Amino acid sequence: MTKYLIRRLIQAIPVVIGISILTYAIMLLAPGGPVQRFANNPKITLAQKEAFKKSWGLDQPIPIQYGRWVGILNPDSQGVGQFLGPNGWPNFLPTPISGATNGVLHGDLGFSLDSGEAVSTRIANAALPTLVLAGTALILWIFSAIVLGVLAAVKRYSFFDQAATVFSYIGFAMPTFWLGIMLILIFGVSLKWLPISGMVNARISPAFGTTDYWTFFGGHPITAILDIAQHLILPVITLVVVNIAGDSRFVRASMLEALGQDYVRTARAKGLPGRTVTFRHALRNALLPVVTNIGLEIPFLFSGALVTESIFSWPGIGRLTIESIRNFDYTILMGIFIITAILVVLANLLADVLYAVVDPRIKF
Amino acid sequence: MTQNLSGPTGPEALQDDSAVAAAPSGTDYEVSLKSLSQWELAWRKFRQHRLAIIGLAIMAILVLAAMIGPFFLPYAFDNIPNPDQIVYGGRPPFCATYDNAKHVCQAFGLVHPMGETGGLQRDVLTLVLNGARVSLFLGFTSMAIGVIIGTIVGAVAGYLGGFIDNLLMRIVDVLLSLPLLFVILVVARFFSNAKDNVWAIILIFGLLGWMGVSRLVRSLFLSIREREFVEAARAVGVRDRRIIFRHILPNALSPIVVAASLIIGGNIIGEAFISFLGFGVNPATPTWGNILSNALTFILVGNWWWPLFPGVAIILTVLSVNFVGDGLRDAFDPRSRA
Amino acid sequence: MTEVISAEAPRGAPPERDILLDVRNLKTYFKVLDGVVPAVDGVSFQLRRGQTLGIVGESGSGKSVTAMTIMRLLDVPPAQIDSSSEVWFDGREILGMPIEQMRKIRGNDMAMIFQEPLTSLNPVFTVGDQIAEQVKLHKKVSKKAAWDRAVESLTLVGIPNPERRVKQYPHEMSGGMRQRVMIAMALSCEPKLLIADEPTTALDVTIQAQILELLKSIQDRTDSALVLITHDLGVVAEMVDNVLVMYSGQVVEQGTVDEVLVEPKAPYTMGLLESIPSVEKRGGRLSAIKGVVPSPFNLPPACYFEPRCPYHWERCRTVTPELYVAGPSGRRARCHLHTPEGASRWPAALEAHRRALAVGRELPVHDPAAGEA
Repeated sequence: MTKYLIRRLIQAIPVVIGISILTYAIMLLAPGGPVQRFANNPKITLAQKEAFKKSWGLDQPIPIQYGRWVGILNPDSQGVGQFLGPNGWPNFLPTPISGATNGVLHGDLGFSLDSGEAVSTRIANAALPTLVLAGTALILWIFSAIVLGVLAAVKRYSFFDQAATVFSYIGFAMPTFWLGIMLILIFGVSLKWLPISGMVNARISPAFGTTDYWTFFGGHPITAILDIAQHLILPVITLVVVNIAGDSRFVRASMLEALGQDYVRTARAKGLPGRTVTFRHALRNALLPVVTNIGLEIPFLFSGALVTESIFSWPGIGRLTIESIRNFDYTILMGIFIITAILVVLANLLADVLYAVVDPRIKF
Repeated sequence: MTQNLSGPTGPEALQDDSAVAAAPSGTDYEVSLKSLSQWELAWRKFRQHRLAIIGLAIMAILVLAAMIGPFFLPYAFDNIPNPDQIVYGGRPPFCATYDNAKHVCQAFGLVHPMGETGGLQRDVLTLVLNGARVSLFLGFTSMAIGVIIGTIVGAVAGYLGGFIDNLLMRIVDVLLSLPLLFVILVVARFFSNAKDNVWAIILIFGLLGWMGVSRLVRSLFLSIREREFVEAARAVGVRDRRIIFRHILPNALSPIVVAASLIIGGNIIGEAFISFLGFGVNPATPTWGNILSNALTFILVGNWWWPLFPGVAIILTVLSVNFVGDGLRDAFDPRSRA
Repeated sequence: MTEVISAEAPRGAPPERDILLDVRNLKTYFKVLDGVVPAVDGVSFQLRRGQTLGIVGESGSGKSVTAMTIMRLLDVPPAQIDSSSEVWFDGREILGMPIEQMRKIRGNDMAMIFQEPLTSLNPVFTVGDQIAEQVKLHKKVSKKAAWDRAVESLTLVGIPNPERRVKQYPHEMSGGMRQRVMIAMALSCEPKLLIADEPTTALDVTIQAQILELLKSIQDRTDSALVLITHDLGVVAEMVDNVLVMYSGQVVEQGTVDEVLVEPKAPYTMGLLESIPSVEKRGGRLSAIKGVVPSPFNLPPACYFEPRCPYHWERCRTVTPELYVAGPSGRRARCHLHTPEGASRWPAALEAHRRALAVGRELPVHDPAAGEA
């Protein structure tokens, strides 16, 4: 198992390197590019400009710029010495060994070109709201997809199954943002039942994520949580409806396959009641591929839902991404890209490991 | 069903019988014994797929409406009736006079069967039909570009194998581990200020949407490459290019067609998505995404008809291409019966 | 030797005490898009306690469907069991009983072994888990007792080191071992009837013999009755008391194993026997029954075997044959050769059959126009 994990991690390295090159290339090719944005931005201090210029190696050839951004090269040295960090060890090693603090490898993602804040701070602030929204939605949609898919498979060709089929066909074809708009129109504008934007009610509490907010949260936890829950309802419904479609089909197909297997016939021949046959023997097998699928959906918890967050003004990573694209805030985008890509690679690995955990047939 | 029973006895009868046994039930086995080409057979099966036929019909109507519809409408899509007067709310379908504050229609009329937008007071039907033109064109063209690139990359990787295969597939891995929409959005943003950027958007979807196809084609090539007829062609000295295009590709075509049909729907939704965010086709050109984007700005007015109809148009289009895709998949599946 | 069919009990009345399984006019259909397929078409037989019945036939002859119907394992719909059909098991009619009651019989009094040991065990549970589950369900014992019973069953079927094996997953075992586990599972509740559907078809030849030996010895020890479904006449010869030969959903011949294998009465059985390779036939051409089993959608009008039968004449295409008495003590055959109209043709057919067995040549074809000889 450990051996397998190490092998897989080593295999993932070229992919991650490729992603970082691609990310860097997109930024370089962008019209205007980071340099110009940064130089002309009045919000950025002179000291920041200096630090930026040095750490990004703006006066250096492109390979060196890239090397410094990644953190392989030491911006304080020249020539072959660039590969060594302040402590004399190779620069790419972790900070305690190499003494290096620059580049992605050491957690330095640079400054926002727009606001001048550290990219890592911006991303960290947006990550919690996304985790709340995406996490709630993910749990709900996986749960409902499993229930829906299993019921549809067990009652194959019934009215329920056909209704679920129609629902999922439409869910497939429906753009997320359209559903969001219609929900806002119905429940927000016409019926006025639910809030349609943001994460907290400004009349109840300070802006989410600020120190004041957490003080408020400490004082009135129930009010705060209820407030967030209210704001969660519409975006969560949007995400759940759109995502159930595909996943419930997947569960249904998987369950149908399991129900057709010989061991299900054996279980029935043993005299087990229908419920035991379905929910112990068939479901357990049907969920094996589903578990893998869930593993692959994990990066969503970070990258979030671009459009849903935008429509509902949810202060998460998705909205930060859209805003950064709109403002040409490349450093933030590069940070989000690289983290997402690493998460995708890790999620693939996690999916494999999960599969091995739940399926006794797979051993590494 | 009974015609063989009065036939001759002896070996002929036996032969006849075994043919009957092999013929699928309920079909006229004389017909099924006639040799049909793969495409004829697929078409016979496709015709029996009810949803696929409905999908095809909806597609045809939409394409027709998008092409000739605008000529029959009284308004041009860029017609702005009162340029100097910004009206807050619009009018719902079949309503001549509407009170936007009280949400009551005061007089009905045949104008604007899909209603009128708030803001610039445009006819929603006109917008939707003009949007259809751009959205459908974009969906099909970008699919074609993506499928062609994907097929070439997959064919080269699958046929040549070795280092080239490895390199190409690692590139695909890298491209696929970035969330595709992120990349599309970033790249589209570069062009989003251009005046006429429809082709730029088409190219973005085409050039960034080939990876799935290339994986599919590669795996098809890997298996077909090992079949006897390819070995035979190679043995008699047929050149690689000819083997790829004349011997292997025709045998890999049906899964590619199925995949292609599903890409169309994805690209139409994708275009609507980036246009909705304001990074897609220039807002002056009506696409379904642009219409929805404008509708969101005026959402608090409660003009439900404004986002409803373009959304329904998207759903109908994607539903019908997906139905056609399903029909194609079943038609090409040798296990499914005619 | 007891006969397969005794005097039939009146409809709706239980058979005599000694008869464990009494199948009466079993008809199972499958509803499909294009119509109705009769998979089992009026099968009747009786099985006494502790005895063994072999059901023989090609694939598609309805033997597995017969077994599945008796176990009530078919999904209704698409399957449909004719309302006139009756199956009496241990004094009770089981086709009409509520499914909850049937479940108490299934796996407890009546157990089944399937053809595919590789796929018939659930891959995500240990074999002990799967056996104990059944014991716990039917015998209402503690988990511990059920596991002990599982180990005991594995010992009974000759699995070495059962304490270790019981904790293993199916994929950790060979095919033969898994079939032993299936048998252990079937035996775990000491059933009165064991139905084995081609239990050795998927196994290596050497393993086949071991599994059959095991089934035989277990039956001797436990005194349970056995229905053995197979297409292998060699297996039948070694294992069973009585034989039922099936073709296209119908019984075409029945009798004791010695009678049926030595003096077959139906042309289909004769053909099956002729097609067995043997040392004596070495060098000669191996005969096979011509053609294939007719499609259930497109059955011949009267006798279903007629198109493939070397002895057929006009009557076979016009009059549907019944299961005629073809000898003493319950010999029956579905062939017009055993009616007064066909009696004159029987000696020639028998002669042809003997010749075919003796020299291993092809059957002389009755119709000279066919020109096959």
